[in-house]
Amino acid sequence: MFVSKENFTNGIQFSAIQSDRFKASVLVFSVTVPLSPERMAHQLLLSGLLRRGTRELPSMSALNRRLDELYGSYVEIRSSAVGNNLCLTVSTEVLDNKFVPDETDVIGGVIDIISQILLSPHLLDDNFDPQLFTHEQKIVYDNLEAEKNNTRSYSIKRCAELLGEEITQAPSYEQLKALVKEASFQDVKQHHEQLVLPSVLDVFYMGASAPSVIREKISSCFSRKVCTLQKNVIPLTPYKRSDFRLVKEKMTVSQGKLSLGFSTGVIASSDCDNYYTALLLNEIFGGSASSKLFINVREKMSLCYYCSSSYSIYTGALMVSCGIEPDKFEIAKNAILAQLDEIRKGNISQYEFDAAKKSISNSYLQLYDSPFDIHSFYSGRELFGIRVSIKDCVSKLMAVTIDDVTELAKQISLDAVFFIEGTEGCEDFEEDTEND
Amino acid sequence: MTDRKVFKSALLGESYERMTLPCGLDIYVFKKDLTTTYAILGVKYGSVHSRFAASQEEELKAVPDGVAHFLEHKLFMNEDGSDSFERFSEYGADANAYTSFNKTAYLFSCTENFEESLGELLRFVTHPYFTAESVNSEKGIIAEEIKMYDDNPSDRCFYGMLEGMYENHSIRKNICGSVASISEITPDILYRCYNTFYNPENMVLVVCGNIDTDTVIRIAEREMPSSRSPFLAKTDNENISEAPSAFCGYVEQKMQVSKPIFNIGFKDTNIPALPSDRQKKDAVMAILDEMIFSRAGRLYEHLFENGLISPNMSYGYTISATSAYNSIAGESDDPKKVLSEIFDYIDKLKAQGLSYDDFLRGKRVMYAEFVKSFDSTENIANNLLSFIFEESEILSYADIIESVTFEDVIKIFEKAFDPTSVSLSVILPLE
Repeated sequence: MFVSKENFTNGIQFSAIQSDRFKASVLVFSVTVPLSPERMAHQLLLSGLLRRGTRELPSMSALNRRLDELYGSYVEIRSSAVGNNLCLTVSTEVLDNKFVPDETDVIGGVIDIISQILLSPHLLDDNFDPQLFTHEQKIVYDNLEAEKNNTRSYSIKRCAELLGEEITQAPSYEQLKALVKEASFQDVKQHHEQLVLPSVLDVFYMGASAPSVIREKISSCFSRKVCTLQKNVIPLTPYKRSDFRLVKEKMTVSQGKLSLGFSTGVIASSDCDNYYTALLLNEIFGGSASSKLFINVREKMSLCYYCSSSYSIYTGALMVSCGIEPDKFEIAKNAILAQLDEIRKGNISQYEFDAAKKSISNSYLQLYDSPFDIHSFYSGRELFGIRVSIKDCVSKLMAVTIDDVTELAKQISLDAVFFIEGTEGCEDFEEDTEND
Repeated sequence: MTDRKVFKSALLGESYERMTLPCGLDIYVFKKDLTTTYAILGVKYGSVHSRFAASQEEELKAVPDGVAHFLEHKLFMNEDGSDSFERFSEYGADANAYTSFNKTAYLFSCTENFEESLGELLRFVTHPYFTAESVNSEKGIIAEEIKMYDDNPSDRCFYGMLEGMYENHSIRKNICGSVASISEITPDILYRCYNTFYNPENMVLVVCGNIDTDTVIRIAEREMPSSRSPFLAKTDNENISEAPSAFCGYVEQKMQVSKPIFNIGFKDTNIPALPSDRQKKDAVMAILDEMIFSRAGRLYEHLFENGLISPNMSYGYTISATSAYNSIAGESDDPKKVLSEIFDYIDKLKAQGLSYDDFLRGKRVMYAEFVKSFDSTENIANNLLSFIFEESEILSYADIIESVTFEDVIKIFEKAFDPTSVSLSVILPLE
């Protein structure tokens, strides 16, 4: 896969992959700045306000109508944390010009809209419209509150929050809600002007057009862009707690949602390949339908419908999640820990090990079929100076041994547990915490 | 095996082949130059087929709710005690299955060992093995799955809408059944359902990827029966006994949600008998929905800017041979007000007429969405299976979208969104 790269003089770093395998082209624009609790709140609000229109398309419906005219193109604006970095991402998937039945330049039109969204959003008296800001503040606050609607994902997020609270600059769920409430439209304008506008803008393109054609369109639409800030990426630090923390929250649900947070101490790095071992450990532990958790905790013990694990190369967190009967907390927790002990003792059959390698290799090779996945794979790693191709990644995974996995399993520790106690009929909220 | 029939689209630059094995299994191979190969074995048997007879002469008999889904879980377990999930893992394939109202599907995706995985897919689905012990053990797992969905407000709200629209139709029942209904399931019931519906004539194999058709045929011929056993089962068409009006206009539940969520359903019992007419109706309604409910439209703008809805309002039209409805879902502090605003807007449109610009915009969106759906082997295989079970041809859908006229949309709009057909389902926060 050939990636063409070019740095523009005005702070645009352009990467492109020409490919005619897809009928839609993908473009991702992103700005990365160091994370702070306030910045996270301000950027969440900014993401919403940028959707509200531009100087030329001064309302959300005008913006959406123009996108629909460009053959149902959409623009997604997201704010996310990667380690202690905050990313603002504007992404789009547009119909390739080859499939457009008329003369409409779809990709050119969408690049123009994104340049307007980022460089000249809809303002009132040179500031964000206070009325729109208040509305957006309510939407963001409501969305944060609504995290609890999905008890499964809420349980995992809260557990990860406990695991990382001594490391991350990201605010807790409750802090973030308070910061969103406190923010003003001037704060958000300042965030846009002082951080987003003058920062380096990374642009990724994958599609059938020649990179030079896309480069010209970007260069022309973003000619007003200036860059006065150096790219400042905060290096990754693995999540770790100094003490064990257990939090139980009561909710009126029929099923308990249990999340276990383990610190592996292993993160993506250009100097050390240990994170490939962690990826494989996760796969054997709970990453697939042939994993120890699925076969033993679900199939043999019939304790749950889902019991799986995930590992983040950016935080080193290994998270286990399962839905259980509310009174099976101890049984399920012990069953999960017993499976980790099996790995620690080296009780991994050659079949399990080979199946885990094949499963993870299959997952990585499938990334080639999605331009967004390709972007996510490369851009995430490149941010931290890790230059590795998908194929190299698979080769390194294949080189991991059972002993490597066993040794790593011995080093990881259970640092946080979060449990939603299903209490159908009980309407009181209660938080119960324990430290060991 | 029958001759291969080739379907092509010059516009999309895509093609696929269809052939039928002596046992009656239809095979579709869609060549696609992507890394992932995706295979799906579909059975035209879903949760709505809860009353059936094995032959035309027999009387219809009911089975416990959730049997189709239970069967889907249990087929992965083999007679020798092995689990097919483990076999797929051995080959490096990612296997899964799902049950919907109208079908059950067994599938895998892979980047290597396609032949071994396809062999396993066909083998395990055609070799049922159920014991009382394994059936009882699965009840605990499925009970937890049911509880997981019970805790999902969107899911509960969606079913609330179906329960509001339909009085008797099986679509109003949860696909997984209930903890009580699955407790009645026995190996005998599973075998009865299996033997009735898992007939190759009632099944379809779809493969999409960089794969050779002859290889697929060779493996299918090896694994499938060599002769045909006619498929004779009969089921209800439950649409016939449903009134055009909604069974209940308002359904309310209380759950752990931060603000109310809603699903508005407009029941449509006017279902064309011919598959081609249903496909055309589907395209016309999809364009009409884009014209009325899209984020680029006046209604969304009004509801959003007045703080009546959260940004993520969704909408869509669903049609099959036995059920059809329009649904609109979202979050609102006042769902009843949202419904009343929707009716006001529809009344205004009926008085003033639809906009031709909106029609062109809706058509563009539908066309682009359809073309873009051919960028993934998973999407292609699943969409192709849905079109086959609806007795339609997927590649011609772009031409159908193109053939829709403004007059078609106006005509269908005159009878759509009848206030008596609506049911509003709401999940309110706990007090």
